Amino acid sequence: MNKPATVRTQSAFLASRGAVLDGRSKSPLHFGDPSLELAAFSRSAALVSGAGASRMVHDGADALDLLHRLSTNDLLQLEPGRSALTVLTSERGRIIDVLNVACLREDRLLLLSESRSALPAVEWIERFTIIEDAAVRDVSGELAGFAVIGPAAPAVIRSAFDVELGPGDAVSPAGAPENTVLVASNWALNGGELTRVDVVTPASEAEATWDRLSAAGASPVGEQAFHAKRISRAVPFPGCELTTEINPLEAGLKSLISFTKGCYVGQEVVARLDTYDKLQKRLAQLEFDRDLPAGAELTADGKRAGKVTSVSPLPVSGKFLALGYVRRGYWDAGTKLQCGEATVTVREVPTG
Amino acid sequence: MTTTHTKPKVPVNSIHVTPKAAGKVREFAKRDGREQFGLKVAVKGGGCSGLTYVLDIVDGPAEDDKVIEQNGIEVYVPKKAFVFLAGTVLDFSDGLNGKGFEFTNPNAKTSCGCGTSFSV
Repeated sequence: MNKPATVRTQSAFLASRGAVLDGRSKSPLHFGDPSLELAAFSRSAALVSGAGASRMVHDGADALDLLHRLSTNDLLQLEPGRSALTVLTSERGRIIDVLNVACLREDRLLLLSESRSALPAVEWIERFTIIEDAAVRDVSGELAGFAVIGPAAPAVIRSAFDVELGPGDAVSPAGAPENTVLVASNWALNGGELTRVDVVTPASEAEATWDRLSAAGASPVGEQAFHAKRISRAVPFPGCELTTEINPLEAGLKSLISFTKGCYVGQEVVARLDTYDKLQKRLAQLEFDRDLPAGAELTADGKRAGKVTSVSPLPVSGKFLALGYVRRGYWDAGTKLQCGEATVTVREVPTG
Repeated sequence: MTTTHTKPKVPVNSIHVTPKAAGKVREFAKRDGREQFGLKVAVKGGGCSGLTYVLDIVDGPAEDDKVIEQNGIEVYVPKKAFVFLAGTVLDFSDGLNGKGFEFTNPNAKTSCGCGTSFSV
């Protein structure tokens, strides 16, 4: 486990490729023109460094079965070469982490998370590993991870690795460095389609892999454009929208929940919330007329109506967007809310 | 007439299988054509509340199983699972509203509605 060193190394090489780094976190803010970088998500393919993301390997004959019992999606159907997104939930149905589970072999899974630390997921899985043949470990320091997102992502991957990927595929391309894995998913969790391919490679191959993807047509983008895009598509993110105070239905992750798979940890709570339509708040996209801090309270007629969780670092199509949790009664599109002096409008989440 | 059910006192270093549950295990084993068998009782991660019970009729104990003799049957409990099961009573409830095998586990802080999952 050598994550800090790896992040420094990654920051250094990203800076050498033109990244402007954040002074404190050393993550790449942008590569010169964040507005142009934002356009790459819609028009071509954006290359995202994923500097703070986590990667885990879950080994053992019972690993898949165990994860199936601990998370929301139906994973038992997952065969080698396929992947699925799922949510680890607590007994109270709250979010521990959102994982993209790639089945590499029947007894080996690669778990991808956008959380800065793998520790909560690792500790949670270990807590329930009792008689199972399964062991999970954090490999964020050993393996680097990038993401290629946008309509041209499949073409970029074809050009870089000579492999054709469809949604849900998880493959180790021939000719690539050992332990390189490509995992294709749909990043538009709230509807619509936005192809995302996660590229995992040994840390020692990170630079070469970045250059390979860049040469294949992927445009390097910084975190400003990344967060602007995800907020414009209402994609929830760890630490902002995905926290242990929130359940998957509130976060708009219904597409990652199987209501027919049977029991998993937290299932009773999640099923009850859905069956009886008991959600008290839910993720909403917000448009505001001036600068708005994350964490700010939303009000309506002096009453508490919700909270802002993420503010877009860039305007999107000239609009100032944010994400937040809005209480029942206020979450319909078009509802006007107040945030201090600012007027905030709840928006329909775009799926196109 | 009032029927009073008294729960057997179970030593904390054991688990108890009631005569009714033991009889059902024998019945299922016989139906499977098994002559030599034991009842595996374990715990695995999952279920609504975090942990879920495992029951299986097996030929014999695994290497790390604790072996307990109960009402004429052998009970095998993996040592790693025993900490969650010590003091548990396994009973059988039949009839139209019966739940089948039922666990009464003093280690369980909460149980889910169907009774097969618990947390400690």
